[in-house]
Amino acid sequence: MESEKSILVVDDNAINREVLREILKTEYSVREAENGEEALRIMREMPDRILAVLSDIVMPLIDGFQLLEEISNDSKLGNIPIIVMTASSENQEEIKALRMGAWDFITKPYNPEVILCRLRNAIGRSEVAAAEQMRHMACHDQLTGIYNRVHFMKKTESMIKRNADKQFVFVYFEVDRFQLINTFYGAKEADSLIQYLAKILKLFAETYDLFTYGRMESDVFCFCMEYDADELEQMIDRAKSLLEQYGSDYDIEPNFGLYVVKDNRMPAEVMYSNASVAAKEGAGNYLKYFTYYTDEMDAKLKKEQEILNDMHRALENEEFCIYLQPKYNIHTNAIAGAEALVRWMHPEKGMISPGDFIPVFENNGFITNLDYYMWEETCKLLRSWIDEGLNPLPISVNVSRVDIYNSRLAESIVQLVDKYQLPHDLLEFEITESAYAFNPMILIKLVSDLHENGFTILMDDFGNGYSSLSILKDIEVDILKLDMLFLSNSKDTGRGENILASVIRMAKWLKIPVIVEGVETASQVNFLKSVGCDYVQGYYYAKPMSVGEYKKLRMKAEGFDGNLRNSDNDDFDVDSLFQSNPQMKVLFGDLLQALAIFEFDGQNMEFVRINEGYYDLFGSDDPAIRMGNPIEIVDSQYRDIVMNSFRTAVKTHGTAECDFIRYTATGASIWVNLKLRYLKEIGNKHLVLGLLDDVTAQKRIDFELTKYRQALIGEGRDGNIMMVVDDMPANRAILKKIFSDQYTIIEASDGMDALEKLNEAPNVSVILLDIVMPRMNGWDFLQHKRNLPAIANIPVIIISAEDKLNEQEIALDMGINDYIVKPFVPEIVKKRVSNAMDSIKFMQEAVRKYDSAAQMARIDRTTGLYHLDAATKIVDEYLEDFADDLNVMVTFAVDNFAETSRQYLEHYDESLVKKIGRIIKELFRRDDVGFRTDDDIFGVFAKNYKDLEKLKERLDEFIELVTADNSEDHVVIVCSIGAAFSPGAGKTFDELYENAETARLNAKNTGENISSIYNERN
Amino acid sequence: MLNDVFKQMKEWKCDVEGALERFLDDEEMYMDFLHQIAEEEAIVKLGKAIDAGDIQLAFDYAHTLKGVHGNMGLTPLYLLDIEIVEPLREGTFETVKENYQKLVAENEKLKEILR
Repeated sequence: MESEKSILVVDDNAINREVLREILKTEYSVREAENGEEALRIMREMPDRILAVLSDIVMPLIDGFQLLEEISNDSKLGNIPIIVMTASSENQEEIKALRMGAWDFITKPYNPEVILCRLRNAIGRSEVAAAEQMRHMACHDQLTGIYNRVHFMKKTESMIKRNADKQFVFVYFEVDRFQLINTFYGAKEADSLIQYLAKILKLFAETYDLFTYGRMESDVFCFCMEYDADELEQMIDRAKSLLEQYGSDYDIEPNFGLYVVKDNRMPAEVMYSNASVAAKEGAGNYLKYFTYYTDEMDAKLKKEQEILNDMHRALENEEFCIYLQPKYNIHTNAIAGAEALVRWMHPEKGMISPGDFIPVFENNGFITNLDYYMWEETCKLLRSWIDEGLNPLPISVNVSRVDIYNSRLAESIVQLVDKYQLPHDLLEFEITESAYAFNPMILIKLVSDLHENGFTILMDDFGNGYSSLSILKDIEVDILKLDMLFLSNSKDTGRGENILASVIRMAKWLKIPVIVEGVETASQVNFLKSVGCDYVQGYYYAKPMSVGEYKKLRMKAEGFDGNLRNSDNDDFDVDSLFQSNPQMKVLFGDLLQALAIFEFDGQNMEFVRINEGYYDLFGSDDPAIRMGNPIEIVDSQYRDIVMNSFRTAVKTHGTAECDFIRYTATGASIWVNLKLRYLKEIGNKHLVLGLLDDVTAQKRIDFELTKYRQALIGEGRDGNIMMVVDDMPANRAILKKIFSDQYTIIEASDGMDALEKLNEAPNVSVILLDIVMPRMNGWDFLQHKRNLPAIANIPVIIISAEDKLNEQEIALDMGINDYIVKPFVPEIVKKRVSNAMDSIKFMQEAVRKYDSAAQMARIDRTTGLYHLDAATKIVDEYLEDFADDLNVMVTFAVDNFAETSRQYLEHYDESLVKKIGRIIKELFRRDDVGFRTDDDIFGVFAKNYKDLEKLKERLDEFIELVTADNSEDHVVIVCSIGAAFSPGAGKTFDELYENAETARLNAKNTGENISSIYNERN
Repeated sequence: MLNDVFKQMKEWKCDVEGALERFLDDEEMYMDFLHQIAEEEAIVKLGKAIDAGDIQLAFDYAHTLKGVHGNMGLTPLYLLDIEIVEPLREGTFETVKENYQKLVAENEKLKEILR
């Protein structure tokens, strides 16, 4: 390491010097001198390297005062701060020191903080320090203080040059998905992590002579050392465990790219490039933290180079062509447009997939050429269809995040579309969300410009990127595109679906239509329908196809576009709906959507026809169908709303929509969304078509989301808000007085007023409610409140003039949280409210803890193995289908585990438990289920294990690896293994486990370190 | 001025201290509301309901008055409110009319004190 600047400590007493060294070493490098003469010598030898001098006064040869004199006479030394240390509390000595040029003084006994502080101040004042700072900045990274990129490269090259006979390895080191940490935890946390990473490198540097390291940029560090494979891997493990000790809420996954230097004359930048290629290969792989650069990577680079060579020619020769993937309306199954996708038809290599060339083009900017070409080809296509007399639906094209840097992009798009005289709503633009994350300002402007010109904008891959939901309020996106695979491909089934559903609900609340792509199965379609998705794209519906195929598809569908014709035909009557009319046949027969046709006379509605989908939704014994007046199935609060929707549809001869609560055959209440469409007038009755959906789940999600509504709109979150509902101003005034120091108070004079105010601001934490009020009394208010998801869960405390027992009981039955009486006794009122609030908080906390505990319970943090319950569940689920195959359950245990593992920990770095977990992972496959019970029995369920000999080998290997560290002096591990195969030894987890354990105990009784496989004769 | 009123009210057996405690000793606010209560139309509406023989309505008004008179420490009025509420709760108008007259009279007394 380059010699740093240091503090010179001058004192004839060795102990004092030692003490000072201890104090200073956390922040500074320290040099020592026994007396003033030595100090002067050192200072004259290397004036640039002394940051400051701490000197005692009483010393032989040249004492402190003389030192001061010499320094002040020597111009070369005058800039170095000197602080003297005095033992006396007499001011005289101190004043003399200051007069003689001391910059400050410190009294003994030493107070570390004072010393460091005074030093810091003194150094700050020195010009030398200033010059040093500038030089430092040129070579060092600001945040961490270690070398910056340029300096590191230089140092590395010179180190290698000086040791040309040795082999070196160049390592690139970063943290996976560091951007996320920055976004979610903020820059301060990110900086703190970076400093920690630098410290880790500093630590390693101390162990090796030949070691350079530095920070390249953001979270990327590099180091270069003599190559030794084992050392290196140990070091990487060490780094990983140091990162685990960092103590953050999130996992820090390091990623190392290793390049073993073949030619020591190669420039460091090239080594860096190779190491980073290796790192990119290994990014996101949690099983391996490091990747060696290989020649295959080289091959990959070559392939990319070929693509680069061919691309210009390919564009000229029109080797790129458009494929179209249709988008569908999920309810009507009608085509709603298409996405244009690029394909490369290489004359020699055949079809090259976009996955191979798009990333390359994005890296070198060629993508802008390609994109423009695609846009133009799409325009040409649309123009040709219009010229043929066809009625094309919109086609969306992709805009790469590289394109957006073109400041005239909106202009050139408008020019292009106008050149082909296309209506602006025919060409839509899909911009990926990650483009927004990197450049929000540019995007906002671009989207706004395109909007002004009448173009539709889709945000692609929503949810993939790093930006938060607030982006939706900044950018006027027209349609959100979500990817089914990304959002629902999580191990926790249910979780991914919830996220997807919530995002869709959020978008709908913002009135942004949603299209989900990557839809592959019918169950995905049903799920998407149930959560309110409008449009879909995916293999389940149609693969990307050539332009010709798409055209054929569209022409076939034209007759069945699913839009109902309005009832202007005279011969349109109820029956004709069901005679060979292809539209109705499709709608009623094939659709999963619940449909009903109503006859409405202004007062009553009657079912005329119902489809299969309706029966599926409400049950074949739905009482509504049998009722004379089906409105009675609707909850009384919503009947008006439903009637009004019918009236609106009739009055406008158009559409209407409402949400209401109705009861099912079993008496349960569900939320239903009804979309009405006017069909035809017949005499004095009207035919209305209704589409029905069960939206109970959506309402629940909506309720959760309303809580975040305020945050999204950017309104500040209010502190605790209390609503006081009482018709007497005096009563409200008193409660306001009592609580205004704890809550913001909103007043309402009766139930109606309260509902209105809650509608505007549902963020209320608690409601104090009087019962007897005009217009709407307390009970009615409570009824309404229960049915409005946004406010249903707000706690309510009744205030009343009554202290009669039975009314209190009734209230508590209604779900009231508590009860207070007038006249108010302030302490009691306060206590009641705070008790109610505390119990709610307690419940929420308990639920939250339970949820997170449930999550944690799945995997043991130390070993990466499952807990017994989770393993049992997983294995049993698997065995439901594969119990008749040969699968094996292995159980393993160490004698005297607790004591043995304690001993083990004393002598080795890794804990025994962790070692066993690691061995299990090594010896068995990824899909196999490794677990650990509370009794320290380990196990693994290996799927589809046919080879008995191989298993025996494995079990022996297991024992060997575990006992590898056995030594008489330290630790002796004695273990036993048992195994049991399905279907012979059982078809459920419990059966197999029991029999494996039987075998294992057998083995244990037979001798030490033995394995045994269960067969019935045991 | 305020103190005069409070003294009279205390003599009249009102629980001024209790009420002020509720108002966190904000005497002016308390005075404002005293004025408001004296003019409270619920008393008039109670009388109308009694005349009309509407038990539920009368009960509601009496109940409301009981609450606010209690909070305001107007004990004489509060006690009369109780006398009116109970029979109405049982479903009868017995003694209600007489007590109502007394209530009106006591309310007048309040107005006097406040003048």
